[in-house]
Amino acid sequence: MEDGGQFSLLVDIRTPSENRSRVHSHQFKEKGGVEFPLTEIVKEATKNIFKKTPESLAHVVTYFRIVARLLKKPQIHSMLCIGNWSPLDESLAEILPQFNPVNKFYCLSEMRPLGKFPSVNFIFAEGGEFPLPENKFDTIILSERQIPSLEMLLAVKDYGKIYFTALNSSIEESLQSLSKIFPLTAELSLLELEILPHFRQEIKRHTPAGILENKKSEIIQVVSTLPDVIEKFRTLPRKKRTAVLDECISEISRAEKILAEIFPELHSDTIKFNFNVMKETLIDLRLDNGSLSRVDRQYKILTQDFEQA
Amino acid sequence: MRGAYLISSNGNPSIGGGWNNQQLLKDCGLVPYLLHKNHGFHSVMVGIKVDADYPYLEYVRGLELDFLPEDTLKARINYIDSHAGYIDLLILYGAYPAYIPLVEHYKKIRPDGKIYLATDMNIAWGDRIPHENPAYKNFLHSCDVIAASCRATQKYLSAKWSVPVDLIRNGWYNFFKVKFDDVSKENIILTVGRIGSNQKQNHILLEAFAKVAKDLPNWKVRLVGGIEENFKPYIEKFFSAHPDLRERVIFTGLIENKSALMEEYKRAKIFCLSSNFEGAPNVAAEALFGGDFVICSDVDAAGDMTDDENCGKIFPIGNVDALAKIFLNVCRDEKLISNGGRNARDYAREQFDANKIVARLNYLLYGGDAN
Repeated sequence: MEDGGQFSLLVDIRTPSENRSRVHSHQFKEKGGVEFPLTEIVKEATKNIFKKTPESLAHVVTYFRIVARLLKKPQIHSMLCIGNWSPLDESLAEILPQFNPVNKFYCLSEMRPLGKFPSVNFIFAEGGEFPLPENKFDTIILSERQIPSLEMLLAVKDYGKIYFTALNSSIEESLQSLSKIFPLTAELSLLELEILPHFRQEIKRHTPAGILENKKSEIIQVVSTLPDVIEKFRTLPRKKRTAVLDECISEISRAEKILAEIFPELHSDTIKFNFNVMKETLIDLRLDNGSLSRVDRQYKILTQDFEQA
Repeated sequence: MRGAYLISSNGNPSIGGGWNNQQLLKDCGLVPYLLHKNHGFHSVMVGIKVDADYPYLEYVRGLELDFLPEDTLKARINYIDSHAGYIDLLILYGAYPAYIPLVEHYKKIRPDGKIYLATDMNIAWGDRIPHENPAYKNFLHSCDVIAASCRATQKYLSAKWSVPVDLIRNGWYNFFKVKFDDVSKENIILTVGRIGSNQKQNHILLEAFAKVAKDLPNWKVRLVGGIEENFKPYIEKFFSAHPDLRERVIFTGLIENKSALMEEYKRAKIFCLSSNFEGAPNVAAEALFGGDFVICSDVDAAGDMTDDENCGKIFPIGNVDALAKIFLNVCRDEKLISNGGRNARDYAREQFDANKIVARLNYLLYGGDAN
């Protein structure tokens, strides 16, 4: 198979050292002779591919890479297919328990496919919305039109993989934006993405919940410097006090803009207003029209509001 | 030198497309004037000519007026094009959607320029603004400082809009060098404004006073301002019903002389506002500087006008009995009035001094780089 200009085997069932699955590559029959269970599984799967549908080459390649992965992983395997149900997925669902009877195949779909698929656990997402559990699947397969999201990446276990059955411009665009979060490896050219443990924290920081938490922390960080600023104001000479206040107000103004962005997500109707009044008391102090007691008072109001939010 | 240009809104009949002589001394003229006087800006008010003469320009020396040839968006866009290099700060008065194309245009040619939007609104108006409309949202996000003129409105807009909302009150500036060391208070309940307008609800004040006038024999009411025609029959009816109050309820008419007007505030012990709605009325600052105990209806700015009743009392809008009861209690409590009046002056100096307010605005816009 062509792979980055080179030819390589996608599934090598001839070398027992490559097979770390629970399926034997060969075994001796009681009455003599040798049988090849692994070969049979792969043969069956291959037969399915070409019998059931003329899939795209990319899809077939992905399929074989997943089978190859199953051979290399002795652990229990949990697999999720997201998007349009295809016969290849059906085929994977059928062979998965043969590697380990407790292996599970899930399919997240908006519609129930016609026919019965006893080896598949369907999850129905109404309106395309379904909260994916974190750190749950060894493999996620994204069907052709499915755009990868941060939530999907988080649903994969450490060292688990996401497979793309095709790369189109929307997926490439999405991957491009993901590459800003963490470096995408050359694996991508092979239509797969491995979730390494250190990516997880980085990914989490970029999910909507993570972004909210980051922004909250940033605001709290700015607010937490206020007691120090007040103390400096009490002790420093006038010129230095002005510089300290200018810097502090500039930071408060920056944090206020962040607060305005996340305000609808917070459990307080007044925090944005109280934050602004905090800024106002500091500006008044800076312009010799305020008092430290007013700053202190407003700081207490604000911290109470933060606790509530 | 930074250039501050206040451009009027087009297509808004209540503004009239330009600035009148009176507005030169109100907050819309005062802010650019003090940016010029105290902070070295080159300040210009831009709009169509609405008055034949502008005698108040004498009091705001250095503040310029530029007249547009017509009240259209095109005229304003052309003005921005020809003055873009000078307009470092664009000031907008009123949160009108009509400003949206103006702001978009300005930001295109002066992305480094600042925009100050003085919303000058009451909550009822704010409630009708299409703040979730993408174009309006973009307009709000293009502004560097968005200000409400009273705390209640600020709190309301802060909760509603996706941008920070600052407080820039309508302050008072001592244009006429009024002295406050010779204040001698009389038993006067004062009100100032367009007498008889639906907004001011002066009949509430008159009826409340009539209810308790016998118990407050030494007290008078002075109503200062032009009288609406349709209110005159009511006045006659009022005096027919209460002939004994003809000498005690005085309609002064409009007092154009600002010094004389300030004397009215200085003389009165109580200032009363009975409006059914108000944003942040200019009379608030004048009454507080005049050292008046402020009694006002529960309009948006009621808390600001009374320093949360530290220097006044608030009554429910339209409630004659509640106002009458307050008159009775307050007018007979000399200590309350004098303490309230003193608090009012202190509070005014701290919160309504236009110099301080504009200094804060300047800092909000330019931070440590403010002049």
